[in-house]
Amino acid sequence: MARLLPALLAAAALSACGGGLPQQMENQKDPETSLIVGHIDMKDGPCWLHWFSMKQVMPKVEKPYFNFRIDEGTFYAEYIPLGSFQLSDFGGDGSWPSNTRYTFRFPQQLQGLRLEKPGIYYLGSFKMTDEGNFFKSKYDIELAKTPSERDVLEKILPHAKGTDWEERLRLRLEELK
Amino acid sequence: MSRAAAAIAVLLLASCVPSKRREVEAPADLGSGEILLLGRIKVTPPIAKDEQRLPGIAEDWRGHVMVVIGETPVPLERPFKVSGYKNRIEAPPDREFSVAVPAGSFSIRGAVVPLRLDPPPTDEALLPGGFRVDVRPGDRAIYIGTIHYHRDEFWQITKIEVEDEYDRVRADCLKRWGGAEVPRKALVVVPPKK
Repeated sequence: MARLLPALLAAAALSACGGGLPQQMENQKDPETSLIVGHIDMKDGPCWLHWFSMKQVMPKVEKPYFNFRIDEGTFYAEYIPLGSFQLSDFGGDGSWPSNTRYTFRFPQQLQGLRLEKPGIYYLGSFKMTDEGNFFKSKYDIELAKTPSERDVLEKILPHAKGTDWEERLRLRLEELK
Repeated sequence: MSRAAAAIAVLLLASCVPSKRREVEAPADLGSGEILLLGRIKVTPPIAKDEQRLPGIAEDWRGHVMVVIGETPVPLERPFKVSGYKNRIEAPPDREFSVAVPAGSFSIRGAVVPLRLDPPPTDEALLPGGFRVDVRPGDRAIYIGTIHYHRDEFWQITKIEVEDEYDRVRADCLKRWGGAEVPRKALVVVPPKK
């Protein structure tokens, strides 16, 4: 399988971690916002997915980092404005008794995302792999066939309940039938 | 990672960075078996301050492009190791670099823009190379031109040009070197896309 996103590993505490956002989406005041969604299977990683963030590179803004909502490997954010974005980093906390916080950074020289019109954008499904050995792990992420876009959108649909996104997600799911 | 551990990691990284090419002002500063290499690296749009996360100890790298040379034009690859900076040419953003290199033909393998050194792991943008620099017997100083990289917001290189600013550089050399000696114009050629 093609190596898609050579993630860089740093077992480090990161001040910009975005864990803790509620799963429930909200209506946006700005009609030009998009819903970005994707999935990372971290089963073979050192932790579960607790945060995922993206950096706005164009236009330049004072606060360029966008943290995503998380639901068991699925990451999503319905408040992304128009612009150009780079995947920034993702990670999670190791399970007890480990207190290590794992952060995986994406290289900045990577094809990014240009949002020119608002909509629902699916980044894809990925799987974390460990290509290291017993003594030393070497993590990477690869494209994965599952879960599908449909599976991922169905998973986040309950979190859009009562918002404008609910109807838009249903329409997209209809298209994917 | 605690702040102290991060600081130690950065110091260790800095202490591992190998030496750069010696900067020289004029051919009079050359050692035996050396020539003076003049050229410039330009990046459009220029490297923005917020694109580089550098520790204080590496602040003088800000805006610089590290040119990696070698006998053969082996492309730079990820992961780029710190040892890859060995004998780099530190090209400043606003003027020509002027360094001593061994008097023999060589290749510019590529260039590196350090984007993140603090905290490790490091991250960088790799700019393509493959330029051949032909040094002739008797050369004391050569001018290879301005290698101009055009890029997008994701550091994807969209165009490479070699610009000829020889007249300006020649006039500057006559003024700075204080004699009649001038560099030979030896513009590099953009290699064909593979």
